[in-house]
This record gives sequence, C-alpha cells and structure tokens, in this order.
Amino acid sequence: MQAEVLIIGDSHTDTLARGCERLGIGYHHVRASGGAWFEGKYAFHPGRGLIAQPGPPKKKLNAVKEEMGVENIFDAGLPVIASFGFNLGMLLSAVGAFDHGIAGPDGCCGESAQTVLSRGFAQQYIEASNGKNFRIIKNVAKVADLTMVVPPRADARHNRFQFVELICDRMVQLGADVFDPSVMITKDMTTALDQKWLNEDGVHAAPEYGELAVKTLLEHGVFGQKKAA
Amino acid sequence: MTQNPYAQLPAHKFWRTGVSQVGVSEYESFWRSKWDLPENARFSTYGSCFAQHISRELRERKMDWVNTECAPARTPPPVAQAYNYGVFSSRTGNIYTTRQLLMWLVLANDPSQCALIETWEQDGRFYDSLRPAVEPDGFASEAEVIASRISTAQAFGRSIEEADVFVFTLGLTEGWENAETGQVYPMCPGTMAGTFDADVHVFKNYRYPEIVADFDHALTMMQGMNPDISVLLTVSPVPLTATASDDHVLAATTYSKSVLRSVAGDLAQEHDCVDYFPSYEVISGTPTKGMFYEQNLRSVAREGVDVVMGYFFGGLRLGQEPVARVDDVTARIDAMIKQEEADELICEEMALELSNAS
Repeated sequence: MQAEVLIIGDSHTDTLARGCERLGIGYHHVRASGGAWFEGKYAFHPGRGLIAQPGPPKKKLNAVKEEMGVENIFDAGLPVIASFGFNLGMLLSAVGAFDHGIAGPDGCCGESAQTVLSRGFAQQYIEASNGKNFRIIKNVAKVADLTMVVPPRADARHNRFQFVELICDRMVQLGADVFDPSVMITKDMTTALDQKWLNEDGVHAAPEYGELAVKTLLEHGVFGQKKAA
Repeated sequence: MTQNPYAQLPAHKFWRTGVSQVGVSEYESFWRSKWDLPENARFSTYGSCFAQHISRELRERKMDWVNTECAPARTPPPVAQAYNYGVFSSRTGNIYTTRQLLMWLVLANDPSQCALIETWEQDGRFYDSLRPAVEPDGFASEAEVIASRISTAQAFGRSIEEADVFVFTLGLTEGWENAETGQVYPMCPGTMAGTFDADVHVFKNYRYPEIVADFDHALTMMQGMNPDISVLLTVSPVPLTATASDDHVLAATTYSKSVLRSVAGDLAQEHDCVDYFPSYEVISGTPTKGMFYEQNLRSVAREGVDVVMGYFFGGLRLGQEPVARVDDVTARIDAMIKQEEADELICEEMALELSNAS
C-alpha cells in the first residue's frame, strides 16, 4: 500500500496509525516515547530533516528512512500529521505538585489551585520545557504540510485545558496547523472524553478515536485528496 | 572608692578594642538573637532589596526558609527569577516601607480587598500597582492581575502563619500614596508602570511616629495570624537611588536610614517578640570605609553580604529542640526545584535611576 501520510510523534500517534489502518490509508510512522521527544533525542537538520541521537531513536528513524527509501523523510513530500511537543503528562504533574493553577483569560485558575500562575509565566514554562520540540515543529512546518494533533482529552483538569490552549497557540505561531479531535466529540473545549474513546490506560485514545481523527483530516483535505475525491 | 561603670566592661564595649583594633568580620559578641529558637526554626523574609540576601543565604544554608508561593517544580532558575519566585517568601516584590507591609497584611486578612487595588494598563498589558515588576511583561488581563494578587496575599498570610521568625528589612521612609484612596505604592507611579498624576499621587516621607504606629499595627495583625511569631528587623544599608524630598540624596539617605535605625532599635526594646539585627552597621559603618559597597557606592558587595551573614547565622540561637512539622514544604520544594541562585538581585527601586537624566 502506498503511503499517503507521514506520522511523527509519541505514543499518542499510535491511534492515528490505527485510524489509517482502519481506513485503508498507507502511512510511514516515526514513533518514539514521549520521554525521548521531551529529552530532545530528536532534532531537525536543514539538510537531513529529522535526525536522532544514537541508540533506539536513531535506529527507529533509520528504519523508517529505509522503508521510505530516502535520507530525509521530508523529501518524499508527504503531508505530516504529528503529535509531540505537548508533554502534557510531565507539565501537569510538575505544575500540580504544589497546587498551582494557570490563570485563564478570565483570571480563573481552577477551584483546587492554591497558587495562581500567570499565562505569561506558563508560556515561558512551556517554552523552557518543550522548546526543543517547538524548534522541530517550526522547521518541519517549513518543509512539509504539518498538522499537529492534540492528545485525547482524557480528563477535564483546568491546567490541562490551559496548557493545551497555550501550546496550540504556540504551534500555530510556529507555522503548524493544529487539530484537536476531542473537540469533534465533546463539541466543546473542556469536557473530558467518555471512557469509550480511551484505551484501558485512561490516557491514550482508542482506535475509534484515531479513525475519527483521520477521517476528519481526510474530509478536510489534509491528506489523501485522491481518496477524498 | 566605687569603680565607674565602664571599668569592668568587656573589650567589645570599647571602640578601640571592640572595633578599631579588630577586623570587620571579627567583632566579638556582636549580635545574639533575643530568643532561643528551635533548630529547625522557620524564617519568612520580606522587605527591601537587601532582604533578598537573607532569603538566599537561608536557602543556601539549607535552613528552613518559608516559601509559600514557590515556582512549579522544574522551573528553570532564570525563569523563576524573572517572575520573582524565590526572592521573598511570597511574590510581594520589595516591601520598602511599614505602610506597605501594613497593606499586605490587610490584603492577607481580607483578600477580597485585592480587587480594590489599582491595576495599570500599558500597551495592552496589565501591571499590579503593588508590585509592578513582579511579571517581566505584565499580565494578560486585569482579571489575571487580581487573581495573582489574591494568590500572593494568601501566600503572604501563610508565610506568616508558618514562620517562627518574620525577617523584615526596613528600606525607605520615602514612598507614594494615592491622595484619594490612601493606597500605597512601592514605586512612584510612572517610573516602572502606571501614569503619574500630580493631583492624585502624593509624596510621603514617613516620620518616626508614623512608622512606629504602622509597625505596631502590623505586629498586632501578624500576632493575630500567628501568636508565637517573632520579628527580626534589619535596616537596609543600600542608599536611596533617588529622593523626592527637598534634600540632597545623601542627606535624604542619612535621614531615612537614621529614622529606620531608630525605629528598629526602639521597637526591639519595646517588644519582647521583636529583635534588631545590625546588618546596617556592618555594611555602612565607618569601620568598613565603604569597602562593602560596589563602585556605585550603593550596591552591597558580596564580601559585605558574607560578613553580615556570618554575624547573622553566628548569632542566631538555634539551640532548642527541633519542632515537629506536619509537612516540610521547604524541603519538598528544595528537592523538586533545586534552583540555582543567580548572583544578581532584583531591586525595583533601581528603576528610579532610569529617571536620572544626568
């Protein structure tokens, strides 16, 4: 099956891959743990595209390159759907440790928050934490049609919503399109997904979620124009 | 014949043997805290720029420094510093006067009053008139300013409730108030943010009786929040960046520091729970010949801070059995954040120098 899309990211991209499979769409998949992305084991090189540190990240990347028959995975001209650079698990646990709450535009910081964090601080905090990933996103957006897919809204924590909003704004600023499949399901920005859309771990999305996400991307012409037509 | 009262005094009671023949870091019996404190005594620190040194030293020495408005775990130190985390026990910014201290206590006791404090808008950003430099680029909205102010007022209250010793560095007698509302400002409106209005913003050079009255009021409020709290006063040796009085800045500085020093000494004599630590004397006294100041004759050199802290920690009586704590917040924070201290202190008052056209 000829690949129509390049999927890049952490464990949250597994559901996108399952979605492609369910819809009969060929894909290539650069997949690493959230930790590997967060620790900066991937980077962007102007000539070589996505590069990785020696060890498992490089082996995985090289396998995809071989599968694609290219040295630079973006040379194939495939549209990219990606999910990395959110690092929500790390951000939420760090900020939640001392009951901080990020102020929303209305100043609200969640009922359980003891200490208010400004949005300005939160932006800096995110930048410091996810900056390496943001640099990749910025550069990939220059060489490919890049759509960042927001991880499933597994809970309705106030800080989660604020982080997602700030990170998505930043990704758009960096030149990526951003798509949040959870909005398609909940029809709002804050309600947690029903458990049926999640895997047993309660964090990652079920294949049905990926299918819905990919179908929506197809309908919007993000990739697979031939199929959509 | 009866011996005169000086005959039996120890060497440190005489200038020659107590000071001039002794190195500035070797004064004997220079200071001993009034109280016996538990080994794990908790300290809250507030005040003018110089108080930041005490915060930092307490942390560096792994003592129990109360930090009720800490940065989130894994905040990079430069980001934490830029947003004024870890500077004082909560993010009040510099509290230069006892009138300011009183205002924070009022807000801590009734956070609903935080909404009554002025917020300044400038170029689409919003600034807290009580701490205009607390966020490097201001806040996103007025609502966010108020939410953050409430959070800090509550944290300020907790830092009093959780402390054994409230260390407060008196910085200035000069300040600015709103003639209509009575609100105090840490900085003259228009210097860091806000707009100066000569009809509304009035200069105050608080006099001895006002400062004592404000402190007594503040102490009563603090004791209402924590009946066992002790207050350790210091006077900042940092000269005024600028004066709005009619005097030359040198004379104004001398007036300001003299009044504050007198107030601190008298309060320490008046109240058993109040003590005075003479850091001011160590830095600015004649024995040092100004060597503890940087070239600008204003900033305190690291060597001076080290000497002061040597006396401070050498004189603290921490002999009491440690007190059992329910939750060692400071240790948790130390473990998770591990902030490295930057050398440069954050001194809002230095922004005044930007107004110096010469």
